[in-house]
Amino acid sequence: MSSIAAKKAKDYTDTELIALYLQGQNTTYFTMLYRRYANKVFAKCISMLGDEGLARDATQDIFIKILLNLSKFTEQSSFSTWVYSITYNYCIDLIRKKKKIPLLYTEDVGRISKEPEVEIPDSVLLEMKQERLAKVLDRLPPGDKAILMMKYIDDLQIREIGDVLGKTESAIKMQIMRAKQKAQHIYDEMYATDPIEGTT
Amino acid sequence: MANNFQEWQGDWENKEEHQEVLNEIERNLLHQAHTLSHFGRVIELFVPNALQTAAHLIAGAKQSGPHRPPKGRYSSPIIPEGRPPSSGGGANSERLLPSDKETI
Repeated sequence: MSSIAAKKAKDYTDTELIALYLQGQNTTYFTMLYRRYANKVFAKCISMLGDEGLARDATQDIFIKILLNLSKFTEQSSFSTWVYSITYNYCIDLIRKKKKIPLLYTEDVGRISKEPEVEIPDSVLLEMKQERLAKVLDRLPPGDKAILMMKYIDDLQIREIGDVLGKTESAIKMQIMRAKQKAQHIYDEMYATDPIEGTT
Repeated sequence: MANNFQEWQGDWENKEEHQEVLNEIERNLLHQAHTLSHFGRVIELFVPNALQTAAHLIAGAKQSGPHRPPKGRYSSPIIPEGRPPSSGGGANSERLLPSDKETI
């Protein structure tokens, strides 16, 4: 126990903490991992679910899943990506069950229009005012929202997003493009009369 | 530098009132983790023995270890050495009823 005290939590890498926990089931190491990621997981749950009570229960369930599956973590991705993958998939499943909505991605209802698909530049989303961005994201299908959060908040690569959602890189590219189109479409609908105020 | 998505997310991450919620979740998780750890040890201790016993039962093999005579209804009682005999055996120590004293 003294060696644990001597070495601070920040001195350990995620992989070291996992190995130490699995060696002796010492909960001190799992607590360190929890404190490292709890804020982020909880914030993602609130962003995805839009309810603090649901987010609290979800965060607890997600960390229990992490605890139970820690020995299955294979280091193919970083630990943070693995944690976020469990988080996003848990939230998407929960939304699907609670709201009983079949719609997860824009492509599930077909194309919005038959016009040729246009690549929306990142700047369109990245220049939206924060409060407007939040409202736009709230109106997106949960799958689209998760994909945009992975890309712009967690800085995940296309391949990593594909691993998280179990889809191919080309499918993810297409979904990102459609999610961006959908976001712009929602933005235009909501703020057509005051488009400039919405950008910084 | 954080973009607008990250700032939006950061607002949720840094809310002070969430700290108490996270502490409560931590307490619950630790309780679960301790339970799992104990359960794991119990499984480690007992499951191999249980499996071995089951295997013996199925295979009909003799149990290893010292032989113990079966404790049957008619088996002789084991009295430890140095124990005084019970008081109910001798004629002198027979208990008398008050009516018996009058007769005597």
